[in-house]
Amino acid sequence: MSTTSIDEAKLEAFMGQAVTDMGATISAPLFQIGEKLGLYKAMAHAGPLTTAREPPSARCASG
Amino acid sequence: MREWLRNQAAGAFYILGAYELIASLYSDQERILEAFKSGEGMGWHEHDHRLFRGTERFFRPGYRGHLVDEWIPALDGVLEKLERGASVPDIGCGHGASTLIMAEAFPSSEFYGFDYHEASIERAREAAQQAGLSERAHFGVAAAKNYPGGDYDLVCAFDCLHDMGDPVGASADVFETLATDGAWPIVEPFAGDSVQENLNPVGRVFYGASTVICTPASLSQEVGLALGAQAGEARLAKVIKQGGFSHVRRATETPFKPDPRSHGVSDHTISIGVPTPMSRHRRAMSAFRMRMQP
Repeated sequence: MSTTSIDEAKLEAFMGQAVTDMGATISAPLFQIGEKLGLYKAMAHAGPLTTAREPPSARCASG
Repeated sequence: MREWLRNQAAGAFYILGAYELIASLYSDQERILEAFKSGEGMGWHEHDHRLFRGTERFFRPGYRGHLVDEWIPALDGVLEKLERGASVPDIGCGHGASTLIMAEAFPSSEFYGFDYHEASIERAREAAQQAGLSERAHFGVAAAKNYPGGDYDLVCAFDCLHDMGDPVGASADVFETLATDGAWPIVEPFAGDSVQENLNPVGRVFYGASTVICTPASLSQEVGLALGAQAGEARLAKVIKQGGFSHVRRATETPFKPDPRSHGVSDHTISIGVPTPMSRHRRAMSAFRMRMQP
């Protein structure tokens, strides 16, 4: 029977990379949704906004 | 092939189930765009089929690695009940990963996996058959608020409470269907109570999936509370108490890291609740949450 010791630092670095990769790939469709809805444009020149009020130039429901 | 290998060598690979789930987000992007405009949500069952298997593959390693060895023993009296023989619904079971893992580990108990998504229940039945567990792992189509039976020793709800339109109503139903000394283990993604605490790489993953999957699923159902996948303990506890439970306690946490035993990743977080053997209307509830560290 063999035992394997785990290098905790390597493991942590691996998970950091894996989670960052997942976050990036999950975010790609969200970037496109934001762009198509005009959310970035709406936020760019409107100053502070809340989700309770639809940004004037965005095309989506509030909330 | 060589170029593919170079791509793989340059990055982190291993969590392949997650990418089946993520692939479904790309294909459902246009529908979600429409849901943003209408505010009407999108049902779990309306998603690309890769979501269902991807979700199973994303969560199963964590259940495999921790459910039987760590989470259940962390709950007062639950392990003994399951070993002695208990009757246990697993609501929102999807493909039945958690149901089958428990059925395998506790041969004296009977498990009933329920999910409103018919195709997932069909898949769960097939998996039970393949694993030779059909005798004690049964599956049926039922929403969290109207699964059959009562006087259960345990009711499980793993990684699904926040997806429901009416989690308060579901909590009340669990309360009603539990035996007086029953218990309610709840598994939920780990999250802080404030948004700021969750603005980290793990929160980014969950908020992303929640935008496309969890929040629209809740909005498409009655009430549409839309808790999201990073609701946090305080918000979840409030929902559970509104269903009739008097106390919520976090029982344990599990870190976000690869799990050599399950050949996968403990890549989700959990909370579990247990009412103590008190009078029916004065049940204390303990909850545990699996910790997901960025």
